[in-house]
Amino acid sequence: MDSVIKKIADRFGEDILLESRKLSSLIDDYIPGDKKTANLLNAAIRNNIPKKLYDMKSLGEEDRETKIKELCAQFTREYALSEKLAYSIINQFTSAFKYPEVKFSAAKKPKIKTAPPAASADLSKNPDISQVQDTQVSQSATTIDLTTSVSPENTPETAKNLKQTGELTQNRLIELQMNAAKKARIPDILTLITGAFIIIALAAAMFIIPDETFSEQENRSLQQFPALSSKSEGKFLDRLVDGKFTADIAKYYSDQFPFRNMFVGLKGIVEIAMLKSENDDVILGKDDYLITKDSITKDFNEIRDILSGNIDGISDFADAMAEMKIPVTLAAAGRSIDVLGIYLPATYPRETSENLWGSFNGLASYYKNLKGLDLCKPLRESVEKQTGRQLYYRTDHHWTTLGAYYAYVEIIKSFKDDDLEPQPLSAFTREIASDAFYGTTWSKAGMKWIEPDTMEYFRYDGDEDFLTTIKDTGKSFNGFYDISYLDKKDKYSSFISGNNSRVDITKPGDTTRQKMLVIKDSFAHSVIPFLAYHFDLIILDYRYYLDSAAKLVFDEDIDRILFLHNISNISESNMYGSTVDEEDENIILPGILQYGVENILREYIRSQYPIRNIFINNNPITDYVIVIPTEETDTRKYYIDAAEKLQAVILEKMGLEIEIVRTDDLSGLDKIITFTPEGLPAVGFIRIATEGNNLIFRCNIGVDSPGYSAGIFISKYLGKNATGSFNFGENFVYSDIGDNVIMIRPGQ
Amino acid sequence: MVFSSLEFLFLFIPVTLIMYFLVPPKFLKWRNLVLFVTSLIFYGWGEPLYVFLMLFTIFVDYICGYFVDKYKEAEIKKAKFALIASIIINIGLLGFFKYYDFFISNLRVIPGLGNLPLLGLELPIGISFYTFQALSYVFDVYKRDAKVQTNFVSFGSYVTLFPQLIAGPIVRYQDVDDMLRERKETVALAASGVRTFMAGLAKKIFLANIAGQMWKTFSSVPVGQRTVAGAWIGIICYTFQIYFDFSGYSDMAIGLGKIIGFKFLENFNYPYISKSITEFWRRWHMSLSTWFRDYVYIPLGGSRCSPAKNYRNILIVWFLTGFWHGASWNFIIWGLYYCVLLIIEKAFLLKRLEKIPAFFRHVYTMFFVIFGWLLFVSEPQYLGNIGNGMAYLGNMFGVGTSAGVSQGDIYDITRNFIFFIIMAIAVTPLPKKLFYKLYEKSNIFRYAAYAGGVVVLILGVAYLVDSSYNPFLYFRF
Repeated sequence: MDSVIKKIADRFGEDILLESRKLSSLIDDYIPGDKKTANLLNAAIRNNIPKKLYDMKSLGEEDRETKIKELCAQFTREYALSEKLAYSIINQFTSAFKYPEVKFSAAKKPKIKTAPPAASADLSKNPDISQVQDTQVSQSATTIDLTTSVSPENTPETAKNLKQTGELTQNRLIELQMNAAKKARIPDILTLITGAFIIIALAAAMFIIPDETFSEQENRSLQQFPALSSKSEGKFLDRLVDGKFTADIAKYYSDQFPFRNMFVGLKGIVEIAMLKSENDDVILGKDDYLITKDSITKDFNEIRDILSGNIDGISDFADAMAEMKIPVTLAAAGRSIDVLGIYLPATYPRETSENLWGSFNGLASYYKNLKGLDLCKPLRESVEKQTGRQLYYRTDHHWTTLGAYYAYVEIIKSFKDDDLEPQPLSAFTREIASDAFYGTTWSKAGMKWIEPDTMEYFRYDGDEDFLTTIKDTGKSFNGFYDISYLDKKDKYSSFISGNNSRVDITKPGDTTRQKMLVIKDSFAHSVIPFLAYHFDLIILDYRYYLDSAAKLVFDEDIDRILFLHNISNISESNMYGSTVDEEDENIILPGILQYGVENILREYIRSQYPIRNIFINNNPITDYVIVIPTEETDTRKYYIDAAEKLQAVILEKMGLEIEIVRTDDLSGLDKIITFTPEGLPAVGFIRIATEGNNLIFRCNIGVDSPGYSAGIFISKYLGKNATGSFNFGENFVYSDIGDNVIMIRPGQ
Repeated sequence: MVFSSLEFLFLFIPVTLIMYFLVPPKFLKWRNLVLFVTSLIFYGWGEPLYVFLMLFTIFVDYICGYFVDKYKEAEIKKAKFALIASIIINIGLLGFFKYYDFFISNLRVIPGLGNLPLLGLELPIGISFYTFQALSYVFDVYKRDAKVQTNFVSFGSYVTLFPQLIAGPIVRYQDVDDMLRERKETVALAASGVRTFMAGLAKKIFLANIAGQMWKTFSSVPVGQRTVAGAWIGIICYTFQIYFDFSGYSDMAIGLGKIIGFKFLENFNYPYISKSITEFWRRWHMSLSTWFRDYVYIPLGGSRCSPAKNYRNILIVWFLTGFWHGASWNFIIWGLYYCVLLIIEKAFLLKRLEKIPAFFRHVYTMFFVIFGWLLFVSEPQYLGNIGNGMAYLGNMFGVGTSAGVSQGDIYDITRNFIFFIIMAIAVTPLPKKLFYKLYEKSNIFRYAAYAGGVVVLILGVAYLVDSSYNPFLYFRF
């Protein structure tokens, strides 16, 4: 240990050594953590040792040495210290005075009361290594440095030991220390060799073992050796300079580390062994169920907002579908954390899950045209009955095929259609598709010792007759199962070949079946085989599908719509809700389901009516109003009757309501349909023609003519069998021979 | 590069140590060269451009040290000039790269200066550490506590020495002066270094990182859903995290040092068993307090002056201590917070405390230490600002919380029970004492400790591979 006193003397001058109070406070400043040494130094100061040493300045070296040793002896006695310690304390002062260090030596000892000889004999008989090591631990200048224990707290023990055992010869001390060092040497060497071996072996393995490109267990690409420069022109070593290269090396090392999966599993073992009950955010529940936790850092309000936004979007869509008389159901499936509560640790909070489902049920039951269906409750209740039936996978976040079956039953029941009965369980043959299904949660959890699940297909007669077509690729296959997935890790995707934007399922040869549109996420996949029994299906995934659902519904003549989602997908991200424009916060953009709805509704309504459009001089009749004289002029209501007759037929045939306006002043009006008695060659004539953009019915008022002329027009052109579009163009003439009627024939 | 990372353990370390030990021991200067070069690579790994800034600092202080030494006997004024030049340049660089934006953003509140441009400079890693180390060299030469170092490579290797470059301990030049000229690597020392390094690695990976994840979770709970228990658990986890992080890192630095023959001083002495704040600061980040004591407090007069001046010196040192930790007001407030507590203790409280049973003194100390950490963490990267910190403080006493204890809190406490117990024991010297006692007495234990070390290494690698979450808090210095 460096001499504190010497330091202080060097700094402040030798005189400071005689100012005891100042010296003490400086000692406190210099070694604040080392109370023991400070105490001893202060004790020396109290004993006037500095002054005494100062007075020795004039002595010769030999004399001084003797006197200093006396001082040491005294000091040792007074404070019951080990001689060594006393010497070192005194030497702090001697070095400050620039005297040569006085060495502690067992041979030349001035008169001290030694301990009884028996004690020293004890030591030579039973060299207690711990005592030896305690001794050397305090300040020492020994050559063998056992740095394993450096603790000042050992000093009192040392003092005690030496006091009891008396003197040790210097040689004996070294001999004992060497024995101790020898015994510790082998474990020390082993430590170094093993450490070096592990480091070098794994470092070498990193280079030797070829890089993987993709991790099946993690379902992602793995970082490859990074590039030093970016690919564009003139960029040399830029990625080294901006630090991206080294950051990527870090990723490279962790992604490509040898035995990566084994190490991940090892951590899982440790975490579970510490009774933490979860690892990497996956809970290990009873019966080896792996359940992903829900997060306490999510804002309930935000979740509720997202959920209600999505349900709003779906219900707006449902309103439009209701106009087309198509029923819409929103079925929400539970997450493992919602359904498998009985497998969770008793202390796990259920509040978030309860809140979420409370919100869902409240929101989904609020909308007139949307039928909400809670698929969590029935399955959870079934699980709680603990009938031994497995409804959700242990290693995957999806429901099992049995769970999907129960969901199917609930869905069919909710349609409340007397012609629809869910198939009974006994109708199916349960076939084991795989007994080594390691699912998504198994990968996430890192608990590699958990046994895999068994995945089943529920087969029934004729299920191979169905045709599944993946519209994305054009590929199609019989039945519902793409068994190429059974050789990979992601076996659940064997149901209708995983996530695609559009999949169609039909039963070739049977075109009379009802058609259902299913808008979904992966939870629907294992339900599809059951639903296909009753419906032709078009299956859309809005994470990938970009087109208008409404258009598809109209074009494909859909009878019924089912939204089937896991609650997490509709409460964690905004899929169907409206969004705010990025540039102008005041503009609200409607949700994706609204795309094309307005046009389709218009088309639908038109489709209910046989006449698509009426044009007058190439203007669509929607631009027109019927203009008739005011009530005062139309005393016999001839005009209003005619106008209303015409209006009613156009409404019936086109679904379009034309406005009737009453005015006596026709000058300057454009795009009107009107009745007038003027401009006839003689009494009793009726003439219907376009003049400019206007359609004029000229008729003699005396003969109930407005209604009569309207009737003629209607029966000829908007009659019972009239279909398609009409264009009453210029020079329209109508020709007929009848009582007092001259009609002008339509031109070309 | 972080110590607790795979590329450090399995790329940097094997290459560096193999190169180092290939040089025969008598060519120490060449070994220092290996250290210098690999340390520069280590630094440049994370800071490809700022490595030149550090080289500049080394160059400046090498020159200044030379001149100080040359003139300190005869022409003391010139020596002083060199010393002051070194201080100005070093502190200037530190102040510019670390504190410029802080100063500017504070000046902006003055009307008229609202548009002063911010530079958005990235903080060079470790600048606070290596600047203080380089400065300590010039000081020590000036005060004759150390001999001048004429070999540029050896001096450079001192400043850049990779074990303590990024996160300390701050090694005074006088403490390694001899070791740069002569050091002896022995099997016992190296094995001890490996054990120390493993202990640090274990603290960092198994304790600090996990506690950090919990703190992150609890501090991210949305405002309306917080609970009193959750707030306490969170800040207690942070209290554990920062200790295990920092002391673990210091252990790793000291352990690495031992392997290459350097004996650094301990940086932490079980601060959480302190019975007073005064004691706490004698056990926490000791190298920093020592540096401020030797190079600021004592030159200003220390306690060898009037009480008024003494308090002034304490105030200056604590202001600087707080400010050193980060360019943000919460750190200054943190420093002054401790300044006030220390003055109170020094004035009268310590004497009163000695009469209270030890248990209450521990509670008193930890209470204030935990609040201190809340101030410390009220910075942009964590809670954001003092306002949020005060809101969090309110949460700890039921203000703005939705409940006292939630079901989730109980779940998290019960499942982490063993983990908390382990951490509580690990902050005391009990494990170390027990270890050394058994290590000295029992040969079987030595072999068991060896096996344990291997297990720690393998499990450490497992945890590292498993996670990418491995931030080191003091990296921003």
